[in-house]
Amino acid sequence: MVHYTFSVPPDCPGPVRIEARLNYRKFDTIYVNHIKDPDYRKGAAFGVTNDLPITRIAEDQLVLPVAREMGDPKSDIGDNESEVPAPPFGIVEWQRWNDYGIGLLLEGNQGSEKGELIQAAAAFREVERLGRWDGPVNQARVFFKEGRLDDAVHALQRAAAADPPAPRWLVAWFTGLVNKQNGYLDQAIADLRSVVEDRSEAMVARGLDFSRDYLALNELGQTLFERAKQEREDPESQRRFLERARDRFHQALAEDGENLTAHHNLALIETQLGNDTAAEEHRRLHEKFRPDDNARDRAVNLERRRNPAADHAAQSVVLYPLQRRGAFELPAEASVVAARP
Amino acid sequence: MPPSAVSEIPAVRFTDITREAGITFTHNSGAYGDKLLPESMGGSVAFLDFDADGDQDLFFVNSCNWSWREPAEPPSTQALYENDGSGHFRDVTAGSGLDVVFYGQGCAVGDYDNDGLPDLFISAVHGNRLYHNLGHGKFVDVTQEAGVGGSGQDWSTSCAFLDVDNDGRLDLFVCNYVQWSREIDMEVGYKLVGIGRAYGQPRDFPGTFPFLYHNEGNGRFVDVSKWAGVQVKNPITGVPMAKSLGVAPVDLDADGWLDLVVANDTVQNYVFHNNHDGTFAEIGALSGIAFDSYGQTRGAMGIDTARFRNDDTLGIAIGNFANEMTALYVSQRKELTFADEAIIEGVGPASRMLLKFGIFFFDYDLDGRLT
Repeated sequence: MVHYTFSVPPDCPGPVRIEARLNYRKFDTIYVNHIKDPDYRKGAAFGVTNDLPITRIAEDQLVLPVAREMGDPKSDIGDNESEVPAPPFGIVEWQRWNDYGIGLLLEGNQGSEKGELIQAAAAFREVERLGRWDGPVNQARVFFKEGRLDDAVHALQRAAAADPPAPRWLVAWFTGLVNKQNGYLDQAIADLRSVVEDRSEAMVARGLDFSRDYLALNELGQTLFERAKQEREDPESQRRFLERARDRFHQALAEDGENLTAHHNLALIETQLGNDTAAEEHRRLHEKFRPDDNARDRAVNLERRRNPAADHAAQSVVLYPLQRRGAFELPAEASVVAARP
Repeated sequence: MPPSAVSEIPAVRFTDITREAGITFTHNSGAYGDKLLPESMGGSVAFLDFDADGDQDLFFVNSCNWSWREPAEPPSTQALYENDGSGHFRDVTAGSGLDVVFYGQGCAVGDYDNDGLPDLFISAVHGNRLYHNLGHGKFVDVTQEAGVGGSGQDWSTSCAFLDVDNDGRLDLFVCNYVQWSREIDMEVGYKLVGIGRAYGQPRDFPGTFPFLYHNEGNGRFVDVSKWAGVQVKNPITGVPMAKSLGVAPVDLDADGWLDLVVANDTVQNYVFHNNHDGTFAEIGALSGIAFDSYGQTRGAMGIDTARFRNDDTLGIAIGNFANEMTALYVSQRKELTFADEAIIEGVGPASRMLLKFGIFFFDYDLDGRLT
């Protein structure tokens, strides 16, 4: 999801045509200068023209009407809003709403920047209105991310009751996540086990096999670990749940040997099972593979201070003004475009 | 299904009696539009019997207008309220010695000189203060003599008096948050789309070390932070790691020596286990308190501990950022190990949406069980 802003001149006579293209080039100009120009590495301005080919990945256009003051004699589209027919799209409407919603949902995943969730929920309501199960399923994803667990449950119930209903494994996955967080652990274990273990015809037909999905295995392992905590009055039962959890995390590690969640949980579980050597090894690996928060934060901060463009782009939701000083497409009065202050 | 509750949750209502009780204190964050990060923190309160008359009085920590702005009028001083014994309070700040203006954050109450009167340590942005209680409602600033003011560049937050070496004198632990200055804050363009400049995130500021001051018994403290092992560095880069907002002194293993649990914002929580010789071993990861259930850090802020099951089981509650459950680390059979039981105890789901700061256990319906 990218946001651009621009101003339409007040005397704009008619509809505004917006053309958007998504271009791709292997390396940007900064990188090309960095690898090809020793002077640039020493601090000089760009010395090398980036002539790498540009590939057009997608393009689209939109025509917007311009509303006018009542009775404006200059208006050529009437006294009020007028409609400009949208050109036909090759993608069906529900899918466009759904793609838009996904983009909003995924925009940000940290701290206070956790996506444009209100807008995403609105987009997915349109998908539901158009009769697709994707609508309520993705609303459940929004609500889950937002922490609205009860709303997520209701959305999943609508998804399961849709015609046609949402795929069983999809509902089971999200229902399992919600049940786990709500503390309905046995139900969550059943949901997540069905994701990992079921082999329905529909899954086979679509080539789906979640038995090696380390995210699902981790969630199942965590839920079994949570369930073990409920057995504090019955050490033998607790041990059995801990061992079942341990098995799931080992399955996850078989797919991703550097998985933080699996190593962390195994360190805790092996500690509770009395296997201190194994616990220490998983703790060591968790620490080894865990990203260095301080170093990452410091690098981001240093670059934000040094580089106005990076500073502008650093947060999850960013508006890019198309008419900014120094924009490539505008007259070359401004010079500071990218990295060098 | 989770186990059924042992009893119905009682309906208890709270009524705001602030005004009737005579309390008019209003916190001043000094916010004026530049969205400087300390403005989003601070505000603190303590019950203390400062006049030793047997009832609990109140002390409020205030912040203030920034030094480069016009001072607030009337001045936003700290605030001391005397309890008349019937639950009515009287503002006795003027002339108490606490009628001072600085950018306060948190406070700790403790009788550091064992004279029978509770003294006050107040953490602050760029300069902590220690006030000795002279009695009769008078406090005097002894920061300089005591040597607990910090470097003058610290952003100190939660703090606690505790006797780390069982010598009968209260020592002092002070959390520091991040390396902060107005210049650092303004260099980075934090923004909320459509609104403008926004408060930054702790991830963008370098970490710090906490302070541990040993009470020498003569009104002076010595900074033993480095020697005592509470300065945790990144093992690879060597930079300070802590971004601390909460500290709880508690004897985790019932060995008669107080340990420390420190809640860190976007950095792993620390557990400082007391080695009985004035030093501590950091065992956060070993104890299971450092991370969330995914092995990641959370935005940890408030902290409290209690034996909430009315047995030997110890609970450590940590309030985390919005969309992160409140943690409830509960002691396990194996000594010094804890498991986050927030989900199975019902604390987690109910707390996920909220952005949690201060947190504490209390028996709100007087049924003998802490909530």
